[in-house]
Amino acid sequence: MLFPISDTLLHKILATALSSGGSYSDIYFEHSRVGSLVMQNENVNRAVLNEDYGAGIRVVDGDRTGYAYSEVLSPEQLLRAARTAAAICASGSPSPVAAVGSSGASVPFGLYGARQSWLEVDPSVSVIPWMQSLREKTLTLEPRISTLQISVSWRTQRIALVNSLGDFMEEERPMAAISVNAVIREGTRTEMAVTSRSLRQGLEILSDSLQEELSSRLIDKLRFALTAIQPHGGEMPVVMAAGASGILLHEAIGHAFEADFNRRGESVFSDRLGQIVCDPDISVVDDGTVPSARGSVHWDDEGVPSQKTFIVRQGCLESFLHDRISAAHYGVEPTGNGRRESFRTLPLPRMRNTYMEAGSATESDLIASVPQGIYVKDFSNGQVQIGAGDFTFFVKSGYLIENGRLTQPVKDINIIGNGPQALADIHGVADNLVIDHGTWICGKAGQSVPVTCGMPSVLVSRLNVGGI
Amino acid sequence: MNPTTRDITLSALRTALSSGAQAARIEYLWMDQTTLQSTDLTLTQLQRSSASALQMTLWVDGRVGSYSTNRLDADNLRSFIAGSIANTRLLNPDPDRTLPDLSRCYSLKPNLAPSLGNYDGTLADLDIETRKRILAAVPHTLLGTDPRIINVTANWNDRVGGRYVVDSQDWEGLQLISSIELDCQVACCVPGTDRKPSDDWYEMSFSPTGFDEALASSIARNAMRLVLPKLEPDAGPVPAGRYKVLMRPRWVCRVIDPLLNALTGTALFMERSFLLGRLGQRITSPLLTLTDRPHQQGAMGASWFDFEGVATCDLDIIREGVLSTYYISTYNARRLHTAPTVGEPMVVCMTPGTKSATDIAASAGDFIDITGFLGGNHNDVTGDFSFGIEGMLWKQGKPVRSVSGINITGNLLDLWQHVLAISSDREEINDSFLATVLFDDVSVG
Repeated sequence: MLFPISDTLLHKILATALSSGGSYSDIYFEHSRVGSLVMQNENVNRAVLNEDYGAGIRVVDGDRTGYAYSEVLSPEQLLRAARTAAAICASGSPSPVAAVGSSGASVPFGLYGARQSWLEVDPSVSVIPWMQSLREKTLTLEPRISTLQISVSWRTQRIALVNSLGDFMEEERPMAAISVNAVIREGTRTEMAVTSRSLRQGLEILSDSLQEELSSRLIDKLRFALTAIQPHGGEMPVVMAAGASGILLHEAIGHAFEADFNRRGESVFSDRLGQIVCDPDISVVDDGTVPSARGSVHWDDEGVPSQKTFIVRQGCLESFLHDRISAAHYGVEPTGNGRRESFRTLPLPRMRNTYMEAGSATESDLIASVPQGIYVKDFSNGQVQIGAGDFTFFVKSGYLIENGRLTQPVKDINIIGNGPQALADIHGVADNLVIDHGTWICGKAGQSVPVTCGMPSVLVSRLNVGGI
Repeated sequence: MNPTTRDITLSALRTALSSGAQAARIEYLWMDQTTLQSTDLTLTQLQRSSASALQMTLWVDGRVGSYSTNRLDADNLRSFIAGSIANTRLLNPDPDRTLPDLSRCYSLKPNLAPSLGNYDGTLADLDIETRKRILAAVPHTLLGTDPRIINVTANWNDRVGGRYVVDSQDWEGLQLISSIELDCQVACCVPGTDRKPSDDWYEMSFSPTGFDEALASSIARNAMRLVLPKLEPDAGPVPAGRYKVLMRPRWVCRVIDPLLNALTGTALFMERSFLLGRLGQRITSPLLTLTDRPHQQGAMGASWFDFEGVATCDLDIIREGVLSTYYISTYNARRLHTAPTVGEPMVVCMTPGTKSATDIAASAGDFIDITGFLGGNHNDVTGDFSFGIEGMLWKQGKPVRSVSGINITGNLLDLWQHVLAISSDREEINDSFLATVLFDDVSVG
């Protein structure tokens, strides 16, 4: 085991946690090492290394949860945490605990591409030269860049999960993220741009081809920003480019399908399972099994094997995204969406990699069909009101569409829509699905988890576009 | 702070200095936290925890690295510090990054520093039943009052802890932290539709004094007050155009924070600031004066020193529209070839105007009273912004209907040039004391 705890002690902790009743208990062990290097202009002048270690103990009793964690993995501290978590239950009779590992549950491995572990990183050999090379390539191609910041960060999580059902699993989860941002000056105009890449990979992510790609994308964005404006706003058709436009699904649909909102009756989709809500050409999935993607896990943070879950299949709402609590509430199997930020936090139903499956149209057909509208392709953030269904996303780059053609570059505008309405207003799905591997982070209830989104180009017939 | 805290911190400092670091700053952080959540009358979550960690900044052969660990046993710490020092040696030299000049640091030892009145250790003694009782007052206030209520969720979160800092110049600082937050989210249905609008309200304090059932009821009523207009059938967008916009203290921070971020040395050095080169210039309406009052008694953000240990002092940030200071740490001062100030805003105070928010609203004619933001962002370099908002449309001094699904868009400096009025009444919001601001000529659509 990755953590020095005997099966006997594990069983005793779980038994203590369920000593006053409860339907389920688990222990989540974590040892994380997070490192980062930052190059500001010519100097790699910031290095950060954080180590976090501990275990969280959870007791579930129907819809109620007790939770406590310990940063010291001694028997005394772990048993104390178990007693604290048990306090959620009224003093009932003890619940049964299966022998550790007795369920025999196993999950397929192989989703992560870490051939060179971040735990063996020597930054002077592997990371710093790569950052320096990326900087040189970028500045050679665009000398108007006045400041350039490159950051490379990595995280290795060693995790073990033991629960009262007899499951025992452990693994090492890698994560790498590279972010490049720059400021460009031309005359009196100053603009900035950011690009990033993040995958569950090891050191091998730092390739020459990634340098070329990041450099090229950053420069394209900077040059674009020098010509872009904030447009006039209003309600109009929006063509969403393939890739990062998946933020639409994440905000407009995905959150509202997280089953905790639905079991409490708060989601705008709470009563619509099984209903046709959009064009039958549309299928939306939340897939935890995309190789190396940020949101992929072999098993979720409560030990449920990952899977590809259809939220919408051929226009019909098919499934919510479940953790164990909501699955029990609805009497269905959990979907592997129970995720948590760390051992300090409770698992909640969360998205993983959310995308729309490809359709049959072409992007150029979608653009050509719009007399007056907007085409959007890069985004920084979004938000949603689960119950009202209103969502937003912030556009970093796009174009006006005039008479079926892309014309004036635009940027820095917020777009608002309503989830069910936007879904119904998708009139055209292109054949060009792209998964965007940027550094997407999803926030919920104070917890952040890595996710990925993707989409083929789509036409939404009307959204409210901010403007001056 | 218990003696062990000090021992561990000083031991880590000694270890770092004897293992190859020429200078170091070590911070010990600790926090006890209790979180409760109820949905309607059921307690759905109970979480208690104690956390502690060491954060270290190490100067090694002209290079600097930052490290943290929560594995505080002596063997692990020794090994962690040794590894951190070796890691630091792999970086580029950075001669600009130094400890601050000791003469600029807060001079009193922790046991002699006067209280700023923003810590109440009795919070740690609050028993769990009291917390549950106050929490329960939130749903009790609302349940049964309106058939459209789907549920009432209440969250209680309290924290007691601190930060003890020592550095290799023998500087020593202590900040004790206590806070309670209670919030209510009420979700309602709109009969005949799928819409389930919700809204929330929260209150925070450093002390349990005054955190009682009456306050819990007030929080619940405020949440309900915000959600009720959203249930009306005519709620929705307004025609695109230019409007007056009123922002209450709870929401005006959304357009204050980008100003403060643009004043920091890192933003200036990396040219990610729309206030670069604007020191001494008029940047906003002369109605706006922002000051920093870091020693204001009872303010949650009050502190005798900043993150480096540099002594804080009263500062004019914007004086009658003129930009008066940047926030420059020791490191950024060297990089920017300028004098350091302090590294971060502490207690930002908006100088009040002469009319109350109520009087401003009554005399403002037609305007949108913002009651919430939904997403949006701003551009650090240009100051261009676009935010989703919701609120109330007022006509001739009276609220007419709820508005939602709209954006305000423009440039932050242009927005702040168009201040029509700042209220005489202020609220403490996120370490700041802010007033209600009425803006003119804002693009809404």
